[in-house]
Amino acid sequence: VSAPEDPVGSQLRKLMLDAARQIQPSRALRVPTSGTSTPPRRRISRVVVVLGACVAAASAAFVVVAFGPRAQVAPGSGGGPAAEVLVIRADGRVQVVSLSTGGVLRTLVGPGAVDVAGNRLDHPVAVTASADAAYVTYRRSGVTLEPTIERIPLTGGPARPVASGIDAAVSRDDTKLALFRFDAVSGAQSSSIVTGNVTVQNLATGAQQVVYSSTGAVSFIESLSWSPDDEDLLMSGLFANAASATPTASTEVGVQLLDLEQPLSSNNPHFVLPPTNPFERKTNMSDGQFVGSNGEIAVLSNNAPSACEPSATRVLSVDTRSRTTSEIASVNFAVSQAYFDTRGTLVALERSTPDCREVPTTASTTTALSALGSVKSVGTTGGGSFTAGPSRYAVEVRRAGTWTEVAADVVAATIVP
Amino acid sequence: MGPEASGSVSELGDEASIDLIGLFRTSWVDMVRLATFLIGSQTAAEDLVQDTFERLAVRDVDAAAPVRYLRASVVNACRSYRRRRLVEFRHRPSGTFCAEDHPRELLDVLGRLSMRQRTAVVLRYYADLPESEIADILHCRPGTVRSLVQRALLELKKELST
Repeated sequence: VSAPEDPVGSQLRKLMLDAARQIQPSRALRVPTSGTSTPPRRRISRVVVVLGACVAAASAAFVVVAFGPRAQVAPGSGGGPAAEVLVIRADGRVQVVSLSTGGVLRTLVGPGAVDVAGNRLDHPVAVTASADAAYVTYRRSGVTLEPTIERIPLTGGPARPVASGIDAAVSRDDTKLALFRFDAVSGAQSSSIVTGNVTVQNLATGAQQVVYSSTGAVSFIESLSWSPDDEDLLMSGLFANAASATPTASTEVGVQLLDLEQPLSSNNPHFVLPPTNPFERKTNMSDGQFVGSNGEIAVLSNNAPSACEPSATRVLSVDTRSRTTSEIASVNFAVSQAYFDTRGTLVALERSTPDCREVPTTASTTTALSALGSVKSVGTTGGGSFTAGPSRYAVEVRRAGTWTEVAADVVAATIVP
Repeated sequence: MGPEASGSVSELGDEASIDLIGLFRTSWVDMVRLATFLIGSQTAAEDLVQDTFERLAVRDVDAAAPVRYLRASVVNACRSYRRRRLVEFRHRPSGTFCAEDHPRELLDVLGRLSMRQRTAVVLRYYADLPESEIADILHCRPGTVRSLVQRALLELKKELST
């Protein structure tokens, strides 16, 4: 015989039923493609997986912050569909993660997957995304092989290699891919003489066009961003302005705007803000991104003494005419990239210091990259090969002025436009 | 579970395989409501339940009791969500949750409970589960569930009477 229910309990039950009627989902369930499920596995396997995940999460050290080049709304405008972030895990998984909950919505590539050509999809280093596909850069085994950029449909399907290079950025209309790579100088006596080229590849035809070449081997483009009309490119990184000069005297760090409709000239490309010398330990501008649909530019301002020391980062809006800035946000950790999601929420990935270590390349290149506050990948002068940096990041989302971690131990991430 | 979906999905279970799509469609609304009561945000609740469905589609489901398994998965997802939010609390000046969705008053009241108390109360008075099943979900004894519910009702008594 059960005891009579507590009056408070009865009242609560009624309130809950009334409230439940008011709670109507705002969207339909997205039914997974799999219609059946296998019988349960032993519980111990789940415990092992959870423990492994905990260890992995505890070891995650780096956080990166990124600006969304393809954000559909201006920062802070609110609205828009539920935002998603595309994350690349260290084990090769490519997943779509909810920015609201941190939960995995879809897994596009699992561990040990291969592309249509049979290449293993491991060692991912970077990602960019259009509304239809992710473009993930994979480092191939063997240092002499250039990284390969694979196109992976967001709705599922096999990965397909489309280009070679790093720091790719897909245009908003998903027709062009901008990327950076070192190419051997034509006619050079040594294969170690290379030039850094920004190339735009037509994704339909495969045709490539070099749109910008560095004048010295120490140039290194860290990120690229397309303008809303796909006519301009923002190039962030390290620029050498004289091949014969010493690196410390000729190297500049900053963000340059390249007008693809105009010929290269002394003013094209040009720095959107005065560049800095990475060896002078001044505040550096990095990761220039087009934000929103009107061509606004945002950059990161970081004065870290090196990539391995924590520092605050400012997110700045740039007025390209007056070359002045206004602060969008100030973040109390070192940031190398940032995105605004479809609701205008700032998405941040931070890299903490314990796992940070300098990348052993040439002294000039290493120091300069460290001053940028981010080492996603490092170019060497050895025949145009690349070595991936050891970075691990955690995706952070800022809501009401506070940060929430939605994904840890990721290699790279970007907003799904 | 809530009155609208209970019963209808219990027949979907099969020893060999489970009609997950049918389970998802019939349980979607109730699971969103359950999650909303547990975490105070309908927006986040929808994402959490969607996440849970996605995970179940590729993982294992207890074929003998799919609804029970689904409900426990949603509750666990909500508890994980709350834990992540608690980490955020350390950096939040006001120290309060944002229950941005309706029905705000009841959600605010529930938000004054601990997560275990809140889960016990919601499962008891919304999902209408017996103490034994709540105990399974919370990994505790039925007596502990009874204690959690009683303490929660004492906390809520003042709020509900005003």
